[in-house]
Amino acid sequence: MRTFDLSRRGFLSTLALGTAGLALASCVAPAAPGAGEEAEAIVLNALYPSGGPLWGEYLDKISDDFNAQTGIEHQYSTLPFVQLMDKQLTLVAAGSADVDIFGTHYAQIGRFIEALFPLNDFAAGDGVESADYVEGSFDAFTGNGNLLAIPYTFDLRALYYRTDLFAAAGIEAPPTTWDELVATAQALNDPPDLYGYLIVGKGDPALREYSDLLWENGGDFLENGLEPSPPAWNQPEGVEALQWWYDLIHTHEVVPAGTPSYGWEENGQLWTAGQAAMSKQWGPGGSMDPDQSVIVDNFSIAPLVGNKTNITTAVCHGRAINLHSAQPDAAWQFIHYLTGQPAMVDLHASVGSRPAHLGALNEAIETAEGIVALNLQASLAGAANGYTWPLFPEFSEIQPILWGEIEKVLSDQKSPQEGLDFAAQEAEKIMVNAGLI
Amino acid sequence: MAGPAENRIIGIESGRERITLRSRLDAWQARYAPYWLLLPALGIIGAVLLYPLVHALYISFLDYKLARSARPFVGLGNYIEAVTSASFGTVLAQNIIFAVVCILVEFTVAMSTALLLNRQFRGRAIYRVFFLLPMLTAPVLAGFNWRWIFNDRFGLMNQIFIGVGLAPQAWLVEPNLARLSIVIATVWQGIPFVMILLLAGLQALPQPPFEAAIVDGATAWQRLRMLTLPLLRPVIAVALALRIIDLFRVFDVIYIMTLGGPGHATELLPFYIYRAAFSQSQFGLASALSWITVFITIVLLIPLFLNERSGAESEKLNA
Repeated sequence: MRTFDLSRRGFLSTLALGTAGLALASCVAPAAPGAGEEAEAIVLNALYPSGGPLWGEYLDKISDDFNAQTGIEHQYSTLPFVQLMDKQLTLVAAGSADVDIFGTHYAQIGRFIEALFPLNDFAAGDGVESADYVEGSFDAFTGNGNLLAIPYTFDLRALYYRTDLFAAAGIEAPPTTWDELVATAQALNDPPDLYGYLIVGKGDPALREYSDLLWENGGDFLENGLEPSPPAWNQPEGVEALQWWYDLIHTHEVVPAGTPSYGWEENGQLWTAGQAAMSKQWGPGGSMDPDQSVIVDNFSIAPLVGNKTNITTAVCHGRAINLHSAQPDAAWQFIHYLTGQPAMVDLHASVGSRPAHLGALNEAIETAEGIVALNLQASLAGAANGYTWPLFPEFSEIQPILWGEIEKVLSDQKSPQEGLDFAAQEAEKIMVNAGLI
Repeated sequence: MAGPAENRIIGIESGRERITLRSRLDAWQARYAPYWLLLPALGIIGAVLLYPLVHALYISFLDYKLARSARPFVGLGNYIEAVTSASFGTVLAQNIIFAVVCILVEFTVAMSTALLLNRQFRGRAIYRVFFLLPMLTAPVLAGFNWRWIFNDRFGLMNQIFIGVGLAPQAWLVEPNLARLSIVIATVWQGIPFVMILLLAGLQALPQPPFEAAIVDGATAWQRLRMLTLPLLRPVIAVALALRIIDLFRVFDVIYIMTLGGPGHATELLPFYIYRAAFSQSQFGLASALSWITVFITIVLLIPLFLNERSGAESEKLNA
């Protein structure tokens, strides 16, 4: 039998030759596709906030429709909002081009001001105008003169209440003021099986809740509104607002004791589990799904309660292009398609979200029925009083400090004045260091 | 032109040169081949371990904020800001207390379990697998489970409390209860790891000293104190070192269960670093904090290794 002996020198020579060959091959430019060969399909990658099973079906449908029209493939992944922002920050900090399209939000745009692709030229080229979208949304998504995202959904909350419990207690109408809300909650409160009201108390959702209470009580975050200026949340209006929230938990005990550990998720689950008579919600969500909800036909929706004012949080989610994307033109094509009127009407019909496109929003108002219509009417009734928080980048650094102090107050570690004063001192340092005040 | 005789001489000389060259090449290969073979592994380690560490060190000297493209050099500014902030001191103290409590609980329970599982009894293998299960659970999944176990409305813990006639608690709201919840979730995952190391150590212990001690009438407690623990010292040192490192890296469970709250009550160093980087977008400060954490961990480990080294040397001398 013939054997083949490979000496060490032979092995090393072969290895060297092979390596040289590979290196040479890698230096040769790939041939362009010739006649009969198909060019590689464009694939867009996107990262969006998650929104339940209906949301996935809607995105699949939109992706297929867009692909049929343009031949461009749209692949997406979704994450809960906080995790989504973490991932986007990681990608952006690494200068990654892995994701082309980002889901973003008023509260986050300041952090990404130099990480998103300016859309001004694209928008001007395709006739996308500020007047087509919810008032102020283009301004909110503009940083350093650059339009950074196109408004997508318009978010407002409404007061959800249990019609069966209201009827049984002889309460004819939902509350409209803070005092009425406390009285109604006390009348229906029957812990531990049922609580009068649900409110969040943890992390970013806690800050969104505080925004509403602060504004409803006639206060504001900063002395000059949305402009960089000394903090004003520790003024009496802000302290009273936080005290009222604290009292719901510790004095009136009309919300569960675990409230300072609740975010949107816990709030939604307790509401659909029938453990509360009233709750503030962004939308019907799982309340209408018999698999998730025990209150399907037993709730209705009313405008939010007010106090000294009826000012409430009104914000938009948006769609933006990663500055490092290798295919911004294709990404814009998708965003333009997604935020146009037909796709936005489809969005409302499919998942019930409020479109930020005014034409689509008007169409939705005309066609909506049942709970979806009620949610739309109740939340849009508050749109005239819609307001947002400061959007300059440093305020993104301030937000976690403020919500940390709110958590401390709600969990009885500090008084409202102490917590808000501490947050104001820290915020002032940040703004002074940045040369803003 | 050279004649045949000269050609032969030249041929011999060039043959000698070839032989010399070949032997030199062989010697070079014999000397350096191991290094070439190590190169791929070193390259990977450099890329995935050293580069991020060095890059983080570089970033820690910059005012690196995501929202700004200008990232000026600030020298030790981030380090000074980190160590002089009141919150850092609080979080560091919290992390040290957390590590001490977890280590005490883990070592007490793990040692008891390891001693139990070191005995011969029916079904011992099944119990060993059973006790290892928490270690096999992903920390994120464990965090989700414990978050719902401690939920004030639906949680198993409050159901048990109600069942035995105790008042339900807001576990993740009251700061000390929230800290306790995090400790329980952490030790639940840490005990099996310590236990398996101690069990392996117990099984490797020499039997004659124990037999002699029994003959001399030593009680079980005396055998544990005078024999088992001293003989296990190298294993305990390794387990302790690994747990100290781990307990200064706990992140997943806190992120899922409390998000560092209520009001930073359950915040440990890794979460504090995460908040600096991802909530406040201060990557420079977060990198400085990461390096400070590495330094603190090393400082905490030094006495352990020094003690272990002196122990090993004194054993050598005694031998």
